[in-house]
Amino acid sequence: MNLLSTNGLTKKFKSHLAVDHLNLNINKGQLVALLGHNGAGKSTTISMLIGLMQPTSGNIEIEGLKVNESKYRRKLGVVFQNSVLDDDLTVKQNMNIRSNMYKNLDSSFKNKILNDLELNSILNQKYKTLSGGQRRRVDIARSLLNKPEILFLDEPSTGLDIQSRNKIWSVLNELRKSMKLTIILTTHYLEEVENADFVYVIDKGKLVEGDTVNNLKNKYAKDTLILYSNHLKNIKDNLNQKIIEETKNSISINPKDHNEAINILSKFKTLITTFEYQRGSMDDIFIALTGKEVE
Amino acid sequence: MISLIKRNLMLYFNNRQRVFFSLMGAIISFILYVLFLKNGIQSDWKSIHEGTKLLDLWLIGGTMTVTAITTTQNALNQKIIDKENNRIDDLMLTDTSKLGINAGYVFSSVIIGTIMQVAVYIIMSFYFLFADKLDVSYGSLIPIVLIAILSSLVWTMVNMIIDLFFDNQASISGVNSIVGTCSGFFAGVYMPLGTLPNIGQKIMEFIPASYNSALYRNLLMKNQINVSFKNVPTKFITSFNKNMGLNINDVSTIMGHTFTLLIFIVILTIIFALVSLLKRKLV
Repeated sequence: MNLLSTNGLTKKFKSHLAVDHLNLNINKGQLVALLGHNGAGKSTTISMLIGLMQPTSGNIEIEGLKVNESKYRRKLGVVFQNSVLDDDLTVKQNMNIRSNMYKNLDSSFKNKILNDLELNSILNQKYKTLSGGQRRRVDIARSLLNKPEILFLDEPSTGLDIQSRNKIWSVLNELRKSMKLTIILTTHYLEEVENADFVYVIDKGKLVEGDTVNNLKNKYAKDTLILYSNHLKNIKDNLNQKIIEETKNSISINPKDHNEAINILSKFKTLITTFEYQRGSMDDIFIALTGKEVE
Repeated sequence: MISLIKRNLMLYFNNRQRVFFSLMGAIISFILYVLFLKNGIQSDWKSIHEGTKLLDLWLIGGTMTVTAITTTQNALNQKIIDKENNRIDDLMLTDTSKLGINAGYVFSSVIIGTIMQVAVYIIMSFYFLFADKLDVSYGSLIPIVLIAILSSLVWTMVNMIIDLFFDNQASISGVNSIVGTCSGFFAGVYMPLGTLPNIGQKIMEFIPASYNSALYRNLLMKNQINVSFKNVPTKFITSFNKNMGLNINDVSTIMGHTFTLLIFIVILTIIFALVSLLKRKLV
């Protein structure tokens, strides 16, 4: 079911076209990743989707609601790139101030979130005294206060340790299951994109590709088979594959799929000492599509 | 909105440095007066009965105007800080409307300005109670609170207009120091209005500070003037009032300083609306 859609979304700053006729369709319950290098237009897109920036042209809708309606805003939760809570106030004060600015908030849900994100022990600590991981968890709790239907995460895991990242994702994944929370994510961590249901790749404000991770991998990322052997010459003579990398005791090739890899492995079973098989990664897709390394 | 006001008050009052620096203008005028100016002005006033007490009250009135200017300015800085750190974006996502959020900043500023003016009154009157045996009349506390609210409103509007032109803390702190320094002159604390050249006096007539001080001074000095100038001809009192900035001009004397300040609020609100409208069109 389609939840959020944009049609010809465009943002122009003077002569610079930051976002260029973007058409997005995001279904309920999906985890959607917006991928693009710095300055590709991701943050501008998010700002327009959450109603903080007026598009130059084009429109945005959530289930028929326009972006400037208060009912639209009510459906949103946003974790900003930078922290937006007050340093000098405690976690509890920050949470209470924000929740009191909403009408008819479900306080049991607020308690559940604080509990799930393990924030109860730091409620009386000032926000500025928290560690990076604790802050991010508080930010996420704030963004979920109003029980949003869509959660925007603008680079949420930058600089976080693996424990914090896992905690955050376990809570978010639980919410995806229990209340069909839709998540729109921009990230530099390509491994986070691996879990996405759908990926939009944006380059210079334009949509270059929109597809599932698997389809993108099939299209753009090649699997790699590395064969280690003391008889490399023998293997090379009998192998009908382009060698992409060669060392003293190994060669790397791109088989068409895993079946071809199995055939190659059984053919040279007696000659190889060991092997590695690597699936194509998001990095490959990203570089194939934008032609640049991730910054 | 109430929650936002509570937040702004907490952020202001929890930060002692911020409270101190927002009072800097008042502290400077107070210290300058006690250490340097008092003796100078006093020597001119030797002939006046209980002239020192009259002068103390005069200073309290002016300093409270300075307090109104600088504390509302500091309170409104919160909006610029919030804008710069994108906190305002997060506030906008709540059910509180843009108007509600802006009103939140205005009310916090008025509340902070009022509390700080009353606090300055209490501190200064106690200081002069011990230093010069000044009678502290608590009967005038209610009118003082009312004037404090009125002057907070006026200066909140002035500072809202100033803030329209600045969007980061670095530039606004520069503006703060300029306004803080000037406020003592505008409020007529460093020197009486009558000692300014004609052009200076004319300029003062277009700035609400002089009317604000006049309103406070008329209230605070009323009883002491009756005592000090008991058998003095009215002509002398009139010229004293004019010189010391208790009367600014004929128009404001006839209309009343309260009404004059209300007119300032209306004019400032119109200017604010026009400038913000113009700004939106230019973006």
